[in-house]
Amino acid sequence: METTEQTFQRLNEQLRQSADVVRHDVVSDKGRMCLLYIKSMCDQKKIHERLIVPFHETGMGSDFSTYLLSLLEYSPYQTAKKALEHFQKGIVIIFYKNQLYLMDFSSNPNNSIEDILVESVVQGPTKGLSEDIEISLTLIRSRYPQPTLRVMQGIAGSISRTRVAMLYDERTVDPKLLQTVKFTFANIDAEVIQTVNQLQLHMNKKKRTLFPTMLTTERPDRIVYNLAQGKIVFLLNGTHFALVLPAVFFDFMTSMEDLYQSYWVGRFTLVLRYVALLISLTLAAWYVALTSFSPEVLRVQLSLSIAGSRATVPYPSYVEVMFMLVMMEMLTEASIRLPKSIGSTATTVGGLILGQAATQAGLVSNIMIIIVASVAISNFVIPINTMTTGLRVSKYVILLLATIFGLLGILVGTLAVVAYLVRLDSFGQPYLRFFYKSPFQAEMRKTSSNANGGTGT
Amino acid sequence: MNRYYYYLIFHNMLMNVLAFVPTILIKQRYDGAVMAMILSVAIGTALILLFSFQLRKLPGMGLPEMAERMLPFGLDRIMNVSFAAIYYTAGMMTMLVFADYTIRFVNPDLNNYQVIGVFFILVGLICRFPSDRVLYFLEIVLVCSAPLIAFILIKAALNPFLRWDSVVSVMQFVWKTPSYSALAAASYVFTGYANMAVFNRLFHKLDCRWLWGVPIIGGSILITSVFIPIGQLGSDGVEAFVYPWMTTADSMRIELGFVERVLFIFYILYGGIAFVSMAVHWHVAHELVLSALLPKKATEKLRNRFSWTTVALFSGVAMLIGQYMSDQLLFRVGNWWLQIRFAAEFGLVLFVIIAARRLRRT
Repeated sequence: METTEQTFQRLNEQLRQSADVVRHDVVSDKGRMCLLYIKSMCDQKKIHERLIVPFHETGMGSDFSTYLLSLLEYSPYQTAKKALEHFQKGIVIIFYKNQLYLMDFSSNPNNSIEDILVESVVQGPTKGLSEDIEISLTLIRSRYPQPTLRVMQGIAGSISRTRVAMLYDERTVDPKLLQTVKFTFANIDAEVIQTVNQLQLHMNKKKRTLFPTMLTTERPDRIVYNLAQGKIVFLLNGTHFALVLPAVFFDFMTSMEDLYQSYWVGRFTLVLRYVALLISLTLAAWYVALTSFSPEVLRVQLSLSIAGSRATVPYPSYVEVMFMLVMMEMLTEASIRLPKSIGSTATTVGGLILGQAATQAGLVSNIMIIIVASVAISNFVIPINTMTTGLRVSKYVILLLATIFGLLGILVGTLAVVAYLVRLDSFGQPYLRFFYKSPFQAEMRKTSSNANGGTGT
Repeated sequence: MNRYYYYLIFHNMLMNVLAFVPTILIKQRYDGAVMAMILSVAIGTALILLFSFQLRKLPGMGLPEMAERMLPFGLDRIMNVSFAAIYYTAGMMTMLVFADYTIRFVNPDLNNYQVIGVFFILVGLICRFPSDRVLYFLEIVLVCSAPLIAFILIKAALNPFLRWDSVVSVMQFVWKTPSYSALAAASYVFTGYANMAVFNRLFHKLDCRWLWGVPIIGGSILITSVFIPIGQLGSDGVEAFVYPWMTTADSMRIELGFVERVLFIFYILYGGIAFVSMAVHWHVAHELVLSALLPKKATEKLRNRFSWTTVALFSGVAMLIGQYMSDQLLFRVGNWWLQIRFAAEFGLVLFVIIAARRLRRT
């Protein structure tokens, strides 16, 4: 059994290898106090004010250890392993009078509240969450002042040890769902988790997914709205996005602004979004099916003008579509990666000049440019980014089917996407179905699992 | 929840147009088809009412569960498999007809294999879904396409080129005695309830309050599906067409619509309906086969494997049959199928009545 002093020495030796670890010895009439901390992780001003100044102040007598114990930042020393773990997060290890104390003086420089960039609305909150989990919690709590709000803390990732908070309203949450989610979270097997999307991937049981079954959001108003509906929210330290679950298809299609607008305006924008969904999924496929398989579907004048604009194009329509779609995807990707100052230039060059030149060179038809532009625009009408990307991929499936089967391919492809969405579920909640608030839903879920899995066992 | 029961009934009514029903009835239009339609409304409604009110007494029970408790060992399995065969054939016929439509009217350069193949892959996947998901899928497709289908039917009925004297001249043959095949064909409109053989597992409180709508909607759909082609194509001329409804749809145009020719709208809409109908029928067949042939204590893995084999077998057989099917043969087989189905329907209702009596007592 080593003495406390030996333990401190051992810790000291283990830690002093790093350049930013500081060992600070303070001596006064009260004796000697040794501090051990990481300079970059701790608030040195706080250490000075709360530890060093009181240590030198007279009149405190020998009660300095009582003072230490009474500090809010104090936590008891348990094992060396735990102390080391906390040490990495900004804990000060204090050795004073043969005793070890742990003090949380961690500072997080990244505590600003972020502006909402991805899910912006015209009118509504413009500030999102913070990358610091405590501040995010404060923000949510102040927007949701309910005594039934529960916060559970946890850790995700065996290496990153990211702090996670799970929030739910005890009154509205489904206890069965809560059990499942807790169980799933506890069984995450991952080394590094840094974003909520990653958390989502690890919580999802299926390896290969296309559509998100949990909603990533940066809007505090959406979080509060979902909490009130009985959903569970995950916050992650180091990112200003939150994960809301369970989420169904319709959640991804609604913008928070739908709630802030008058009824018919809200409905109108919602319908607009579904039209955009249809366009972005099928328009490219329609072009292939209509030009290469069934031009008789359209009016003669339109068919002729499409054929006329395609007169210079040497390739079949699917090559044309693929060429332009791939160019568009590149543009989208490039405009994300490019610095903001050059971004607009690239889009102009890519979008306008390339499109114009491609038509003049006879590589693609004029109508194709219209189609690609509408596909690109309508794709981004969908408010939640993860859903946008899922749909971006699935349009190629429909395009492929349309290339092989024409109109039939569009029919089958669309139905296949719908069927896939219907098959998905998010923590027991069916992903896509009409009219969600059915009183029979719980009963139905129970019986369907009996009918389909129950016969075997 | 209960609306799904009505969806099942309603989608079958729409399927009526696509199946051979109009063709068969039009063929016998001077020999009792009109009477058959009138009678079938009565018979169909009676069957639905009997079935629904008896099924209410057996909440959450599918046909296999009833059979297991009522019939001696072995016999229940035989019954399940034979019912499965009827449902399976229903799905397959739908597919073959729709493949024929596609090749004839929309994509002449595809071959039968390709069309059937792409449908089977997808339907094969969907019919393995849990029952509730099949119903959701049905709902989505139905709700999305029903308004447009109603638009087409109403537009067809209001078409100024519809010759009412043709309709009236056929109606004059109302007092002829109908043949069994005409009766069997006409009553197909009301068959949707039979899918409850499996889907009843999900229903715990069957609500029969809205069943009065069934004869009204079913009757009007049946009448439009026969008389609109007659009015549009002429009381004698209508016989010349293999698929009178496709030709009827092609004879209409939406002057100011984005797509001018109704045929293609019709094709896409009914494609969705046919697809979902196939998925429903095959799902029922799949579940019946599974509960008949799978040992009661099968593991999840065995169940999965068995279910894949069933689906593969379903598709394989259909592909094989599709190869040898000409439209004449298809038509004849469809006619037989409708007749067998009509008899089996009585059997099913009778069985449910007996089951309700016996199982309630124990």
